[in-house]
Amino acid sequence: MEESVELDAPDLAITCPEDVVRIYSEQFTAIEKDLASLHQILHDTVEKMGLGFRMLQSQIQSQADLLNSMVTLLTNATDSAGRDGTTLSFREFTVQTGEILQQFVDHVVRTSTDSLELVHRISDMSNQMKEINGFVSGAKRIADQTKLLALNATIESARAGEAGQCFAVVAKEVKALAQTSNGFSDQIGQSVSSARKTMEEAKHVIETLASSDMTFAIDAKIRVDAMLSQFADVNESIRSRLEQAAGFARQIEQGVSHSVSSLQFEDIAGQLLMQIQRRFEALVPRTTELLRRSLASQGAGGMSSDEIGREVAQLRSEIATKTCSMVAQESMSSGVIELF
Amino acid sequence: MSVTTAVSPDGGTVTISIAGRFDFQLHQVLRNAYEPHLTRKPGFVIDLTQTEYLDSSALGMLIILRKQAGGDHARVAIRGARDGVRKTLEVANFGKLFSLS
Repeated sequence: MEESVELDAPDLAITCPEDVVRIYSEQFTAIEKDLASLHQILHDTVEKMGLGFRMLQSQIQSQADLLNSMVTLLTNATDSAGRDGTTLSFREFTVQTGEILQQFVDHVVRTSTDSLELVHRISDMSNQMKEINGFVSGAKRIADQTKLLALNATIESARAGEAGQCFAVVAKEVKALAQTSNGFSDQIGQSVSSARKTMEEAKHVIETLASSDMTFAIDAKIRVDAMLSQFADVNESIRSRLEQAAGFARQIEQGVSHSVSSLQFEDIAGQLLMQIQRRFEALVPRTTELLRRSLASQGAGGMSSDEIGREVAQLRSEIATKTCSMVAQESMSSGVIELF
Repeated sequence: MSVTTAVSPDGGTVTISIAGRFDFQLHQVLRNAYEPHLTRKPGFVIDLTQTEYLDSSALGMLIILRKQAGGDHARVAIRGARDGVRKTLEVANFGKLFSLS
């Protein structure tokens, strides 16, 4: 590219017409070289940009896949992804936790109901025991009265003398029976008392169980429900933001695609450069010759102005035929653009 | 805490109002309040407007009342529950067993 600035170099002093031709020729050659370098640089740069864009595209694709998989992970509510035993979706975690806590609450309510029923039953039994005690007292009263009757019978039989002796034996037996009955009544009374005492102890135990406040289980479910609902909100907001990010990734991808297809300008620019090069190829030797001959027109072998006119016309038509087949596609927007 | 019972003029509805804490301490009082009416098979209304707190044994008492009043055929309504009490009833799924209002 240094050649292209040689115009300013001091050794280009023009001393004779041959110098003009030489400088002209040198500059044409330099321009041709510059064009070739430009073409190469353009080609190399566009290739690198294409490579860069392709890397960018693949990275954006990976990013979009990642974002989409995260969205799916957070979303899968009804699909089977979470049911394969390896992953547990957040929603399933929520549902299962809720179910476990509900079972716990149901159990607490059932335990409470059962223990209260036991308290009621034991209370009823205790009342029935009181009734038994009343019956035992009644039996004792009857036995006491029977004893009294037996005593009276003994007194009466003594007054009856000889004739009452048989009756005295009966009265003695009746008294013995009354005493036995009393003995049984006492035993029943003692057993009932002892049973009541045991029952009171059982009642105390069951009351302690029934009165223990298990409401904390219900409170726990209320709190966990609230937390899960908050989690779900956070989850949803993360999910929607990830979706937004995935949307941006898609837009970036589209932008990169556009850029990649825009790189096709290199094709067209390359063809245009080639056309310029061909024009020069056709132009340079002939114009150099023309220039040389017209400069030498005063001497032998010089050209008349008619000759120059004919040469120029011929040159123009030659260049036209050399370049007419090139760059049919003049703008990037026309024709189908193939991606790299 | 107190339990008051009111019977409608036709005897078809027994309203039991519970004020203050509704917990184990009330189990016998509550039982005494509804048991005498069971033979007439009335509808029951449990008024919790004045109930400040309700514990797990209160839930048990309400279920026993429902069972005694005819189980699935019983007409037992719970009304006037405040937010905290209502939440407890809801979490215990009482909406399925009683009419909550």
